[in-house]
Amino acid sequence: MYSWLLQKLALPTVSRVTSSKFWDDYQEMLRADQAPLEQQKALQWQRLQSMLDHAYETVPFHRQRFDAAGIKPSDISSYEDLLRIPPSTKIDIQANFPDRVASSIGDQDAWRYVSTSGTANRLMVIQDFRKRDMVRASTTRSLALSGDYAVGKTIVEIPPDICNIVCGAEGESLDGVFPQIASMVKHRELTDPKAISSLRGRIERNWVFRKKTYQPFGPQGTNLTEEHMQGYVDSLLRDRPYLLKALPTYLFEIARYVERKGIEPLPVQVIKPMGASISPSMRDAIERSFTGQFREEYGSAEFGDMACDGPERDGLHVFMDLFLVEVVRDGKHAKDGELGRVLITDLMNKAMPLIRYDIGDIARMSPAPASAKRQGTRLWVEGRADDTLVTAEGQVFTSDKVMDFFYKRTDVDQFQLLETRPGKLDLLIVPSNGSVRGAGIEDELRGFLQSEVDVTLYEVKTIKPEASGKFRFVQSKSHDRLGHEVTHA
Amino acid sequence: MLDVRADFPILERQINGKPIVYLDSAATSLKPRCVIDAVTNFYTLHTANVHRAVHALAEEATEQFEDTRRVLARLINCDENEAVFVRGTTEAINMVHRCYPGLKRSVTTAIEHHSNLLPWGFGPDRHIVSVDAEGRIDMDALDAVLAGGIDLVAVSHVSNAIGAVQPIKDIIDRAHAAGALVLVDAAQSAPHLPLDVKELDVDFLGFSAHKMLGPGGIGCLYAKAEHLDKMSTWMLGGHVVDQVHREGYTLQEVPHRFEAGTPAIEAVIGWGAALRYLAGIGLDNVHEHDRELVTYARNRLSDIDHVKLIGPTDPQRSGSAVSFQVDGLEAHGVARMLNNRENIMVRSGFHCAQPLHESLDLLPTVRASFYVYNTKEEVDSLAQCLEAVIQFL
Ligand SMILES: Cc1ncc(COP(=O)(O)O)c(C=O)c1O
Repeated sequence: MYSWLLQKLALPTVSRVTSSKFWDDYQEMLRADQAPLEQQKALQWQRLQSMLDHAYETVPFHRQRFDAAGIKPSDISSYEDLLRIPPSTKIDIQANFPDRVASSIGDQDAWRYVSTSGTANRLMVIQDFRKRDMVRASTTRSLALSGDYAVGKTIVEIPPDICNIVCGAEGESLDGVFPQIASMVKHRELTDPKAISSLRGRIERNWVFRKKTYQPFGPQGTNLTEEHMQGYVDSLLRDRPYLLKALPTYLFEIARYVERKGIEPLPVQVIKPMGASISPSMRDAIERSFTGQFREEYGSAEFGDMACDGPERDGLHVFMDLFLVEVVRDGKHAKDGELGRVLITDLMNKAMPLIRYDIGDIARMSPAPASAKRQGTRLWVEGRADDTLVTAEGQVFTSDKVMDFFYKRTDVDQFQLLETRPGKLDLLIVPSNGSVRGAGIEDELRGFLQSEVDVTLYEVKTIKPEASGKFRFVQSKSHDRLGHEVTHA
Repeated sequence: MLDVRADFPILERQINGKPIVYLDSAATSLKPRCVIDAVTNFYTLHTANVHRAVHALAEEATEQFEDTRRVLARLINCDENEAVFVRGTTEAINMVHRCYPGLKRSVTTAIEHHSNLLPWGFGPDRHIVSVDAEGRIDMDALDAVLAGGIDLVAVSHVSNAIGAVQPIKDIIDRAHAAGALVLVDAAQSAPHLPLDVKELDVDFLGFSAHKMLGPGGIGCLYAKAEHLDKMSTWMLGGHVVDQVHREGYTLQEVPHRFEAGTPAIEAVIGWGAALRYLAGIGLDNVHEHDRELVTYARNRLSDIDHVKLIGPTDPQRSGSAVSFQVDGLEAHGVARMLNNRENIMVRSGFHCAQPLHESLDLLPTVRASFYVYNTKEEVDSLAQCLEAVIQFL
């Protein structure tokens, strides 16, 4: 009933009386995904050209790079032409942030800074309110595409652990509607557009989307106490959310706890990853321990959701109305299904255009339509480029592949593979029980990698996260062998 | 202005093709070549343990090690036996808390670094005197607390968060008049000002080598000889004892009894080189240099719209740091932009002084802190970079 009221009355009404076009955007997005491929491409290309023109005209960084490459936006008339635009990296963008990468036109009162807090790893961007609305609508779209979601169903999130209070980051706190109103009254900001925007975000989060956030695992890493794990199980049994969205490692650990303890599969309809990709064996373990299905999603704080899969599980369908995604290898577009680096062009954010941005991921792509129902380009993300091993023989092993190698073993609870220099690996193992010494894991790993790498095994009690709260189970020193798509400006 | 940049090899480093602008010396200072050389020289030619053996290397090591204590004692005007090597300011404060008998009733201030707050606990016998927006301690409140009977006043000379300098001599006199001892956290003052413990008549004073051009992991607790005699040892082991028998042991002389185990020998020796280097420049000149930079920085930044300076407005009352906020931007965001654009390295956050921020209702701040190698041109880079970013808000 609550859902129905929201869906049919509250949201369209809110949408009417505020500047937010959330509801209309959302409806339009649902239509865009079902459109025939040619139509999707046409919209994508039209938005791309408008973005390239806009970037060239109003963003010094992009104009300079176009000029240096001797091209104009009008020279870009085919997918192949895109290769003439030099990709950009985080270093380029951040060295010019904000004035030289943001547009010189636009209503700056309607802009907001994203990801300025937290670790130095995250890209700082400026989004205009239009983009922000699109991000919110698009989040709802991926929910809708996940199954039978209706606005108002409960969502639980377990985000990675980032220090905020002690480290003094203000973050973009989205807690509490009433505290925000109180603060607006106190600081006389009742008409301040930024404060109103934040209030709207909170109303959406708490009342419309009914989001709850659980505590992250914390710095102790993967292996928490039973009590702590049971806490997650109890909370999920109490909240019975439609959606559980969490760092893949958290999901995986909860799933295996459930399995180990012989607990009935937990009542969650849809499970999604947050902040990292997931390997096939992790996905299987998760689906055994929850009643619902796992849905892949590709997105980031800076861009919003960029792609998601559906019940057909035929890859991540790119939101072609909002993004142009390329996969490149050695300066060329990768062939159908070939691994390469992911470049993102954001078609919406006019405040700070990002064009052919190297997001640091490794993926395969297929332009072939999956079905009559969803015809868009599909993507399979296999991990971070920096986490990809390349053997002396030139074989590429993404972190997904390596994870699956270890997670298939029953004697390994968790692992971390640290390449200290190309071909030299420290292997940290949390054994499931007893010891894994003498079990021949080193040889099997060499067999798997088909390379005479040097492996040193250490047994540990837990695997710890990075400062960002995320885990890096594979850390590569050989990823340079992949070849850089990008030369730094 | 001093001109010593050539002595600091790290300043030749470039990141992404640009030089670095290091404005985070309040966290730790850069190291001059002579310090790096002293440490390497020890490893290359003199490696041995101290105070133990009679062979040539051990004697050389011991001599260099104890030489640092002599230089240190001269620098702050104390007796050599009153200078105890500790790991740093934090350890110095904790040691006084643990080892000096009868420090039940203590008072600190709202501007302290966490390491001068936490050791004193949170009980009813612990008082915290407030400070105003410029970091001035409420002296009336201090007097009132002192009148109620206090064993120890623990106070920082210069605030790491907003650079406020306290009238330390005045505080010590008031405390003594009320029968209280005084511990001064000199982490941010020893590197920048001449200190004379006899003139100050301070009871305990702690500071860290790494903030004054020296290596990490070493620092000093100065305590009046009469206080050291009363202090118990908190760690036992080699070098603490004079004689050990099956029935018991007798303690070494002060200060050695407080230095259990093998110390960070190379760090002590490196610190000796740093102290000589600083003495060569003259701490008066260091102070002058810092003050000129801070004054210049405050003037330069106060001209920028949206920048709000925090802390003392009077240059006589400010240490070598300038803290500020930018309207509409988070402190961490500002710090990241400065770093990403021009390799300008500043600190952002609560600077380990969260109670200060809470009591003044302050959001996290950005802090630029200066030392002997910094220049007005670097302040200009900071200001220009801020202008470029802010022009955009
Ligand atoms: C005022 C103050 N006190 C104490 C400390 C702690 O010094 P250390 O970490 O060297 O022990 C610092 C260091 O930041 C400081 O600035």
